[in-house]
Amino acid sequence: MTDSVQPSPTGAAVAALRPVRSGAGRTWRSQGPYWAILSPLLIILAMFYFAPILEVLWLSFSDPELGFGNYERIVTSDAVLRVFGTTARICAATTVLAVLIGYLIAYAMMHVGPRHRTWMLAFVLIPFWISVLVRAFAWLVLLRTDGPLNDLLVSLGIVSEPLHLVRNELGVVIGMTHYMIPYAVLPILANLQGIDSRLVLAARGLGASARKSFYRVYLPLSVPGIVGAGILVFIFSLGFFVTPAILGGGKTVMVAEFVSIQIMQIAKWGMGAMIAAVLLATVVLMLVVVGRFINLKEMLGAR
Amino acid sequence: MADRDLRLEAISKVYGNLAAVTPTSLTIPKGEFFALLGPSGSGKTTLLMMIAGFVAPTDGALYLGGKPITDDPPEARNFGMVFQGYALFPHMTVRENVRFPLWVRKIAEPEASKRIRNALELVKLEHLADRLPRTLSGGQQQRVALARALVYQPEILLLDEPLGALDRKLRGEVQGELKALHAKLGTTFIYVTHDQDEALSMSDRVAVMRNGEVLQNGTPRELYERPETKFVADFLGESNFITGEVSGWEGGTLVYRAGGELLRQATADRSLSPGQRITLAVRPERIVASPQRNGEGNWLSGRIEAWSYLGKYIGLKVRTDAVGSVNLTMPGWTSDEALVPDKPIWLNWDPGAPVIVRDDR
Amino acid sequence: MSVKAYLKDVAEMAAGEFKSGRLSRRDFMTICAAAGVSPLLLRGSPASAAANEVVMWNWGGDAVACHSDVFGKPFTEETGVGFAIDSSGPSEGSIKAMVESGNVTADVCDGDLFQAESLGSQGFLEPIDYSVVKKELFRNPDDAKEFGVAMVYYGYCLMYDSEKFGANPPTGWADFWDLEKFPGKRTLYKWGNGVFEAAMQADGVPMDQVYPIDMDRVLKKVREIKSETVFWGSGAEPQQLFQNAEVAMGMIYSNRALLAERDTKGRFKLIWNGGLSQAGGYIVPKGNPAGRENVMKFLASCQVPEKQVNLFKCLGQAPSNPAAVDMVPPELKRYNSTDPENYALQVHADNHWYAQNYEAALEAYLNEIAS
Repeated sequence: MTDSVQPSPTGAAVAALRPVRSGAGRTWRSQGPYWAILSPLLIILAMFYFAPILEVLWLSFSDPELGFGNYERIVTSDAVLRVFGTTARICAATTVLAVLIGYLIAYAMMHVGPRHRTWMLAFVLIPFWISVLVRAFAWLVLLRTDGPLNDLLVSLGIVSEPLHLVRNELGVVIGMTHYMIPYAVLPILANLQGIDSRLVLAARGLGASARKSFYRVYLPLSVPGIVGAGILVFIFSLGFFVTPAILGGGKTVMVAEFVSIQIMQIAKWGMGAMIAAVLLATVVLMLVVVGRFINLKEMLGAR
Repeated sequence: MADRDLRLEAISKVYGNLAAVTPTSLTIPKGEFFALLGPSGSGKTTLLMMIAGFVAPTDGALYLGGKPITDDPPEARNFGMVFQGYALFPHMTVRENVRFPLWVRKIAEPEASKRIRNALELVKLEHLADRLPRTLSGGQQQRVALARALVYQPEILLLDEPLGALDRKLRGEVQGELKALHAKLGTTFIYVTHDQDEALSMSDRVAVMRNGEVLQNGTPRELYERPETKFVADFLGESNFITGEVSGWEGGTLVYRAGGELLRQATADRSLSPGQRITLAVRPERIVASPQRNGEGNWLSGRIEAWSYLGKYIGLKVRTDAVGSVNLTMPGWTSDEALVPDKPIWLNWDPGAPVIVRDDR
Repeated sequence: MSVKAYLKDVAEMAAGEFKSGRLSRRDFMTICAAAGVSPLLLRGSPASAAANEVVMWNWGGDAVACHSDVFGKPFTEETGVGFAIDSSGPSEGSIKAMVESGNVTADVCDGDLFQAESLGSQGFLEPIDYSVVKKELFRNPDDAKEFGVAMVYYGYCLMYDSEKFGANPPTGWADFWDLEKFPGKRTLYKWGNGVFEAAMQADGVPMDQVYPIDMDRVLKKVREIKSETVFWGSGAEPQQLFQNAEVAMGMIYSNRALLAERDTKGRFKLIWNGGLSQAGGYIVPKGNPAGRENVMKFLASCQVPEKQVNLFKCLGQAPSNPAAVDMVPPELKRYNSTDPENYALQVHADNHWYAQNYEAALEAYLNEIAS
């Protein structure tokens, strides 16, 4: 067989390079007007965004005295290590659960009619308008030892003693997972919508059962959505404050609350700033590392 | 091997109020190259999907070799399928794509590798085995899809508009290759297309569909030369339609009146009686143009309205008093001098050339 | 509308979401942070301070209305000086930041009395003018400090489930720590006050000898019961825990005890034994905008017994003026932490110890409960 549309690798490479070259060749002068239009925004960003971040960084090195004293605490203080450990553990659990549930929801949305899909999307999005405080209290009411869920479980004889579902780490993970599910659903849904539905039919037609088609074809193709959702959820989870404070029974201290305690309760501003700086660095580092393997822009829907 | 025929028995699909496929019965013998031809929305793809098992019929049954398979899921039918747009797995290389159906069937090494090699050789893609589908051209992707559908030696290969995405020249080449492949493998091919030339040139048999209904089913020659309905006559190639009124019989020949002219038509249908209205389809290439009338037969006078030079032949449009505009073809080498606008001209055809069709438009 | 005003709006909206709307001193801090509002941003509130207006910096919630009605309106009627409230919460960090920035927008802060010492010694506060404020109207000499006055008192006291322990009720913190004799969940204050003293007593130290607090002993005692304990950070929480009988015993602000008894229809009962009585301090940031004369006049006006009784009725905060203590209606005396009968049963906070040690003690305590 012959083929008249043989792609030439070099030709493709040259074609891909072309816009980049012309872009780099453009001078600053020719882009002048764009920068002029953008400059107010850039100034606002610099003043209200970058300046405070720099101030926080500076504080972490200068309070109470100049030097790396605060940063030494990362290795010398049990409290700091434990808070980071707790945060990582809770965020990991939240991420796994939120992505798993988010995937199930998104998958279901892909396989119902358009009317049901609209309804489901509404139910996914409605919690965005409910404050984190209200949601945390709602979980507290629902899951506490004499709450409706425990009453039901006990009255059905499923458990003999009420379960301790809130005021501990489990409660924090439940509350945070609930909060993060919409953030998991949306990137996954965007990804699933991009998967050619005929691919699963093709797999079935080639002899694969529904399960095998899913695991070998659909699931691998949804990996970018899963990873994107995972990163989004994990990073958002790192900053949780109210949910752990309310659902953790006072014993689950995550990084954000720890920073607040340092700054507002015991006035160790340098220490708080250091933790905040480490948190920021962790997030940036994570994005850089993940960005080496995956196109983040595409994954987070920036295209 | 008549015992492996595929039989469709009054199979139908209804979506709400819409009948996508009206009850249809067909038998596709083992080894046949069978085409489902129709415009978009004619139900041909739905019918194919029911054969594949992706769409459950509303009613009716499917049999393979006399055994009902209506309720078998697609993976149990052991049919190969080439999708429109190929549906290659984008995260797998060519080799992995072709291996997929073997993996599903738990075919172990070294048998699997041998079969993959054979399948890729068959479509001449051994050298691209480790490439990802998106790095291949459309024609190459089409061949990967084919190799993937053939590697497990299915009894029946289903093809849904497999050449739809290829440019015209490439289509011609691949059509030839598919035909050769069919001859070599002896597998039943069921081929969905909206391209009449493709259907005619490749198939052993064609079913023409419209509005969920199979209008006619036969060899390409039968369909072209003996279309049963106006739609079939028009959809497969070009036809001139003449309407007339039966005036009587002249021996074994039917005489009818069209636009004041008495014309003759050879037909075996003795049920036609005087006064009845009939429609006839006549192919442009069966009409002969002459400067003057010479002899008996069906003669109509007219004037040249327009023509177009197409190399192999010249398409000519003649305005007649009796039946309006008529299209016909003349050899490409006909001299330009004969082609003068408004020039009087005589048209003649053999009484056996037209076919009486059912007016279904 | 400035960015600051907007952010404060967000914080106040969040505040409104609390079920009861009764915010404790610490509640607002939580919400502030929840709304992503730093006290630094909130310090310049819409209640812009001016020379002819006294701005009171409190923790929001019911205190906004109570302080206005009880102290603000009469003060304006008497003196013609205006009164406004900034409800963003005068945390120690915020007061320091405000004074250091030189942009002082508040005249009087609803803080802790020990801050008069800790912040005063660092030069963040104005000294009190005792020619205007009357020393003799305080119950304790220690209430009138150089840099602040104890206008109200808080109690951190014990409540227990009388349905569970009605026949043989607990009598103090030793019983609180006895999980065998008094089984059930506990709740304690997350920010330490009162818990330090309670743990010392549970470890066998007599009530009048708990200071100086031995934090090692406290942490050891906390470790014993922390798995059975919920730690509350805002005043509404223990109230809810009692209402739903999620705990068998717990510590609560005394000003919420009345509400908690009412909510539980008397099922949860208050005992003062071994509770902590701690003075709330009214302190004046250095360089306050209304001027020293105005703010001292305001502080003096808060000493009026009728006003203190009204504040007690409104917020449950106990009066510091002995004359006001006597004027509390008899049926409410049981809930007044400065009532002589109740006062005698409580530990009296050593503000000097708090000024010196609170930050370090709190850090160690939080570390213990979170590990």
